[in-house]
Amino acid sequence: MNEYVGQSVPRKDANDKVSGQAMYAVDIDYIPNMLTGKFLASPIAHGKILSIDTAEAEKLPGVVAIVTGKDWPVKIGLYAGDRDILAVEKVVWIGQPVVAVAAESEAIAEEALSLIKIEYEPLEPILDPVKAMDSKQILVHEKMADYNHSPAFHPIPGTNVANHFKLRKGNIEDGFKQADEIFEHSYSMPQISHAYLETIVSIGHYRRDGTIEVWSSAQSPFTVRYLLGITFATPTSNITVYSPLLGGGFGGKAGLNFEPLVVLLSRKANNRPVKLHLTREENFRSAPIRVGMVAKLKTGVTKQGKVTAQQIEYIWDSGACADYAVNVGRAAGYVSIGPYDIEHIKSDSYTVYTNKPYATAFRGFGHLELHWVIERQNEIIAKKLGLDSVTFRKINTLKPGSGITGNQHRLREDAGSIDECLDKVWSELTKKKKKTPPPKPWIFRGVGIAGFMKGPAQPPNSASSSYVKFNEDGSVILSVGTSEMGQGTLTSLAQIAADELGLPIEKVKIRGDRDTDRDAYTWQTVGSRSLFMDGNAVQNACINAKEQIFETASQVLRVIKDDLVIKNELIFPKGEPWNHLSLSEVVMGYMYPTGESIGGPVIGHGKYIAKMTILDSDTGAGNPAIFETFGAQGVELELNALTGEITINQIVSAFDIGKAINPQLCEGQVLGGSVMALSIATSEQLQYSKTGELLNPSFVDYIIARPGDIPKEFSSYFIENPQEDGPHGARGIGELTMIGVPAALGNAIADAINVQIFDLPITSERVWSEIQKQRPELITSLKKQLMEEKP
Amino acid sequence: MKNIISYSSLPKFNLITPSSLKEALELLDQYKNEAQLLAGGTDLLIELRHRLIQPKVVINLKMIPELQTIRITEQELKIGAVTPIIEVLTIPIIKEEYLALYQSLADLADEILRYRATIGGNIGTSSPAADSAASLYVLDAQINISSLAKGQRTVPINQFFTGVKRNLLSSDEIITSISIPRPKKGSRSSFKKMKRSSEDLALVGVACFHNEKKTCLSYTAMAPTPLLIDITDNIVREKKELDEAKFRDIWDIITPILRPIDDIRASKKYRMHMAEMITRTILKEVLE
Ligand SMILES: Cc1cc2nc3c(=O)[nH]c(=O)nc-3n(C[C@H](O)[C@H](O)[C@H](O)COP(=O)(O)OP(=O)(O)OC[C@H]3O[C@@H](n4cnc5c(N)ncnc54)[C@H](O)[C@@H]3O)c2cc1C
Repeated sequence: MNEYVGQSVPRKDANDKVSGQAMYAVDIDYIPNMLTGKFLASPIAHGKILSIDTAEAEKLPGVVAIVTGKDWPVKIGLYAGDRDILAVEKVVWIGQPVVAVAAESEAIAEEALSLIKIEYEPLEPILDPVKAMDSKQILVHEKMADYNHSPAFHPIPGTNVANHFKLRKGNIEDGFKQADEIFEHSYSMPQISHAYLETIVSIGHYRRDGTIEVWSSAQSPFTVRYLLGITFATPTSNITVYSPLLGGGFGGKAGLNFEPLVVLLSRKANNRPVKLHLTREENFRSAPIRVGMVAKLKTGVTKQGKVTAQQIEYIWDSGACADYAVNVGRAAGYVSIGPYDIEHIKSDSYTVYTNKPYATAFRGFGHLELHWVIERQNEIIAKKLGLDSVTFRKINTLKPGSGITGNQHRLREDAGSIDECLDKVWSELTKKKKKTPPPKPWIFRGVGIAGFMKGPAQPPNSASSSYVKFNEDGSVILSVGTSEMGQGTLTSLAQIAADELGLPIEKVKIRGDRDTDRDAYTWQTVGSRSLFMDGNAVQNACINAKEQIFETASQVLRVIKDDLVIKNELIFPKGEPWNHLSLSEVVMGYMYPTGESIGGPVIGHGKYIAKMTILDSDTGAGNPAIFETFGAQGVELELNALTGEITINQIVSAFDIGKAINPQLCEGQVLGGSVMALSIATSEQLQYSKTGELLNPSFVDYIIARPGDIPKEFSSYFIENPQEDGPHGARGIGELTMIGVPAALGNAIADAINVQIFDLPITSERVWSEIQKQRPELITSLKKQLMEEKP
Repeated sequence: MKNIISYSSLPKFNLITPSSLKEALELLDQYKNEAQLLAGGTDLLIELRHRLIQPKVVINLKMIPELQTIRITEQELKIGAVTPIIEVLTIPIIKEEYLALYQSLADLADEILRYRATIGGNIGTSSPAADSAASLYVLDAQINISSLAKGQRTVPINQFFTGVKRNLLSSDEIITSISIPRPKKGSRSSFKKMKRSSEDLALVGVACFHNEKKTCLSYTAMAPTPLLIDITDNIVREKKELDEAKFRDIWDIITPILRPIDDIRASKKYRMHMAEMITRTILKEVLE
């Protein structure tokens, strides 16, 4: 009965978004008596607050409230409570909110900020995550021991380590003894910005009756609601969070961010609602970003290509707070070695505090970073051993039944196949690779591939729910908790519902905005989990609704419930379509000709809960995820050795997603994800001064890919080895579409010109300077050839 | 310590929109330093929002038809200062006679911005990286300036820039137009710029002009102001093919003049290297 599943049904929100009718948080300006909020941020990276003088600002007409950290000195955060709403005793990064104002207008709020005087006693900041790891003198959080944290994490008080995740398997020394060759390299990646189009907007309304309403560009409104309840010590039922459509999130809007601040302002502003809309500069400095990474990798391998030992150290630069990023370190910790089966593993993943903007979730959640390390190293090894890229990898890849995260957990038999992804990408890439020589002697061509895997990094009790409510005419309102920020999941969920209920897709309404009072619960919209988790919940809700419909229909038609089916909005016993009732006759209750009525309005509900385990704190063993999506990506490029410029000709991607519920939406994800990853790989980096000041807090110097940087050709392949417990066999894809691109790019450069790059981003300048370093003679001779070239 | 505030509002100012040059000059004469001129606003609005300037009045030049006229005579091409870049690109002779200018303007920012930004604004900002500057330098452009007190004057563009975002305009002057002589038959020009993405400010910009009488190069983002370097002696006077040795000679003249900075956009070393690489390719292209 798959009428819609597997079809490229147009997005339900396309019209609204293209025509400009779609509503975002910034559009909410109709709440009466709303004030403008604005905060003053710390100008120093580390220091004690000596005094705050707001007297002048308070006198300014139009200023309604001013709050400081002392007004609500509660530490907030998702997995670890390490962040002040406003700095309380000390400031820990440039950009940290210290004082906030609510005023009648933006201009007044801004003027008020200029009248506030804050005295600091500067402390030495620590900016380098490697130094921060070892520092006992400079601590970002001296009071770490007092912080609340989830038991899944292991902070080390008295240091800057917010979490230490260990993965242990076999005996690493034995592993290196079995090896014929050992490879040791270091890799790195800078902190980056999510660079979503919509900067953060939060509106808080602390109402007189003590209830709280929040409108926010938040990816996870239910988490915001829950954490607000804890922050303000009030029952969750007192809080409503509305999150309209989001103009991109990529993880940057996944945690709790400025919502407590606007609630606090509203509370002090005589219960008037307060709206905060970050400028791009504020968003860069004060809103969360993505972790940076420094990694050391030591690999033992036999001559035949079997990896015997993998020893890893990941240091994650989380900036001044790690309330969400501790889990990035954990997730990257248990997937440390990528999609491979290795006998001896010793991996340590440290999430580290520094005096820089704080990190949070980011599309890929540590996996783009770790696969940069693993897959660059694998390519270096393959070349050295004289094996081709795919052959070497396939000697070591995970197979059904292989153990992941140590020995305890076995990969399911229906988990999907990394080998099929690698084969597909490699054959397409080599098929299309240009056979003609490059047009100029200084132009080099290369191809590179990377394999990878990722599953949702969520707590073991992460859950989703859904309800489906019938209308008089047999159409339905489908409610889920997952948010819409571009992915298109809602359309896929509607397809699943339409098929399950035998309805035309036009009769399934699914709203894009979220209202925690109205909508079914989901944990968060992160980790490529929604299609799988919420999809199962939707399917269960529809099955539950059908139960109710069949209950009534079986009485009317006098048949056994189990024999009934719904097709084309008709209910009938299987094989007897003539003996039918229409949905509209049943869904609000059936009335017999006499007027006697049975049944009643149908509301189906469904739920789904993750099946995982807590990981062992000494070895990391356990079941970390409900699924792993496997994938591979390949890049074909041309490189100008004289300038370092790279032109990507094509990106080939393959993912084993079990079932492409909506192939066009999957392709959209691949296009968006690959371009985003390319941008990250080639140009994105937050750059700081020696004092910790962000030097590029705008798109003038924070460089993201422009339309002209998009490769000419993309091909995406969806491999469909179904996973039994996925909706229609499906696994998630959203984040996967980015993960392989940076490593494939680095590998293609190595293939083109035999120069190894270990650090991102791969700017033209970096390519040039690495060629200069690794092959100095080459540039000198190419320059001559350039001058001697005849036109 | 001064509070860092990221403003989203604009400061308060009076916006005045004159409809003739005379009116604009009178206003400017009246307000002088307290006034700022607004063309496309793509630089000005950023400076206003960041409170780098806080003028009492902003004089909007966009409704003055005489500042947007384009005239082609036998001697020169004259472009009104407030002409949007997108319109300059459609001037019929621009590709044949002023290829460098065409290339530099076609690569300025992005298409959306080119509808707003004006050529006079690009010069008026006087950024060392101004894309139009290098090509206007090698094409020998003249800047026509007016004020109520002193009337009209004309200065060659290579005297106009005086430092980073500084120029020789006094507070009562308006750039009215830019005049570029019609190049002799057989003249060729070209512009190239190094960027970090397909739409970016120049890390290095290089323009080159060549005919039988003259060869010159101009560089942007390589010193506090754009630079003009005449290499006629090396190219025209000694008739020898441009090979590695000859390029070395030319580059030896140029290197000491270039003074790039190290910053987050690029290192000094890479800027020098790219200036050299572009110079090599642009010379080959223009001379052959
Ligand atoms: C996103 C973005 C990308 C950009 N990319 C580039 C780029 O790639 N290359 C580049 O060169 N620039 C770039 N710029 C800078 C800017 O767009 C250009 O300098 C543009 O040409 C300015 O023109 P405008 O008409 O907008 O100037 P305005 O902002 O209106 O004015 C700029 C300055 O010149 C003065 N001025 C304007 N007209 C006159 C006049 N007739 N007489 C005297 N003074 C005058 C103004 O008072 C002001 O000080 C970019 C800007 C942005 C916002």
